[in-house]
Amino acid sequence: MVDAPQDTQKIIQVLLRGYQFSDSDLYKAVYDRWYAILDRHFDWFRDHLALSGFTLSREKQVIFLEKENKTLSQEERQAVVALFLLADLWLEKGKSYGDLFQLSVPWAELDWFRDGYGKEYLDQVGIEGGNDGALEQLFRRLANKGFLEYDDDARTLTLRRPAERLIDMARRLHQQINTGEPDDTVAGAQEQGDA
Amino acid sequence: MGSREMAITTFQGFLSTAGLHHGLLVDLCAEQGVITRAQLLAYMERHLIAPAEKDRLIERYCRTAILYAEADCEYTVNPIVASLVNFYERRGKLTHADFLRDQIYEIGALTDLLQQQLFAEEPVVAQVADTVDKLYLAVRDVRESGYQHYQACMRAFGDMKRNDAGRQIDARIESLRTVHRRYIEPLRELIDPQSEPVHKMALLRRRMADLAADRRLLGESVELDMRRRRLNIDIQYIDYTLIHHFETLIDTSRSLLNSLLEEKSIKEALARCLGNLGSVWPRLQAETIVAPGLMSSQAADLEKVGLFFNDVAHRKFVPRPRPLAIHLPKEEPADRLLLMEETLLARMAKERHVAGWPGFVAREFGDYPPGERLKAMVLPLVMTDPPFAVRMGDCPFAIDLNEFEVEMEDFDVTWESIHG
Repeated sequence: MVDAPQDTQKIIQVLLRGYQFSDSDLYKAVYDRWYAILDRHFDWFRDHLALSGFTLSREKQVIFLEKENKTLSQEERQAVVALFLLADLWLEKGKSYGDLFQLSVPWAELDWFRDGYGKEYLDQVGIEGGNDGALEQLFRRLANKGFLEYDDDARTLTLRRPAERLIDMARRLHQQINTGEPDDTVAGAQEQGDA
Repeated sequence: MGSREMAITTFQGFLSTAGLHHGLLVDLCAEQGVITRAQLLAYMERHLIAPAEKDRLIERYCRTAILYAEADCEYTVNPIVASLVNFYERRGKLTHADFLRDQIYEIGALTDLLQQQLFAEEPVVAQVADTVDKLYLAVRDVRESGYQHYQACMRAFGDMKRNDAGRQIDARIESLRTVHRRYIEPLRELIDPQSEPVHKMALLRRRMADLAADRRLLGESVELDMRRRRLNIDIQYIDYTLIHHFETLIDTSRSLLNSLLEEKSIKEALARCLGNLGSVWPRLQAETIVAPGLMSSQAADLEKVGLFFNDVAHRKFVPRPRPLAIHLPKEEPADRLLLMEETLLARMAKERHVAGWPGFVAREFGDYPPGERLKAMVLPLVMTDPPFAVRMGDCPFAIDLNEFEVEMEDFDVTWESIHG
């Protein structure tokens, strides 16, 4: 019989909490070992979790449990807008995309992110009037899910691999929106309205 | 103190001024030619020099002869300072790749000359030595300016990465494309195995081998042998190091451009998505962005689930899937499952008299299902117009048939031979 991988209970608990493991964990104590185990025994975990109806997925270096309820939650919308916006404005400032995942960004310096046209988009997902508290809470929650590092003392944030996975989704979405692929009900309705 | 005296500075003063803003000085020395005042101020801005300090610093640079004021609002960097800084900063000098190519053609021509001289009926040592010397100078030129070019290009890439922050991505792509077109792309010809410069260098290597094999000629002149060795070292450097450097440059430039184009595409995608959030949501419906996870109020569940997984994980509950097997039902005659009336009557006829019928059924038909046995036990009591006689006994009969218990009065059965 093959020995069960170490730390499995803890790893599964963390996965159930909604945490997304990634190679960013290689720089984090304890999690580095867990990620290595999960990475090496991915099939084992997937098969065992499948026995109780959970779907373990892997996208490049990100390993996570699929959510059960396939509807987009408000929190997910907030995460999408906040991270898309952060990356957009970061690039707008002429900084490099790679640095976004390397550098620690001080929270206080993010006023460019909370002001200006960012406000408008955040309003759309219920973070109104550049509500700093709500936004910081969102980032803290995302930190718990492995998306970013939030340093409470220094009040800095550093994006991690799962955030990159999310931001990279923009490329595919962009393509789909441009070619007007399925689900484009909004554009479809507009076209009909115009005609 | 007169202004004349102020223009003279000590070496100490020069050093302390030069050490003030190291990064700024390095950037200024990278500029070739005239630097306008506006450019100068922009550099200072980038190096976070306070506005009030700027004029004073320019004046100080001029005083220490780091900058020369060429005209109103135009400066050049003292060439000695520039070459010193560039040397220590390992900043090479850009060379147009055409220059390198022309040098190699020149080498080709000299190689042909060398060939003629080597294979002449009466080779003249002095002529051969002169040609080898000319070749040496040309090859050295390629080696040095090639290496300088490599350093300058690498440095330019570094500067771009360092100083381009804040510039629009399109402008950065444009400037990288320019550098690539001017300084990198032409290098391709120098390393392409099909190209003429590469053939020329190969030819030179062959002639050098011919020369090395010519013991008679080399024996005539120690000087020629020395020059030959010296030239060989440079040729080898070009073959092994410089060509490799050029390949690195081409690769680096290409990957830098790719990453800039990547950035451009992600930027466009993000802007498009943010502007069309309405079309984004339906397309993300099936994606796991952030899984909700379990909240603290559900901690008990979490623990239970966790324990379950613990059991799974530590193989207490081990799923041991067996290969799928279908067990076909065994073919059995119905009378193995159902106690037919005929069977019972036949048995009665055979036995003639059965004392304690229920007990007899329990003993004799024990293999049948309980329901069948019960039916058999009570059959004599319910049958209309039976071919046998029933005599009720005095004692009770009880039996546990597993699925249920049966209690009844015991009775005997006697076959009536009239029917038989």
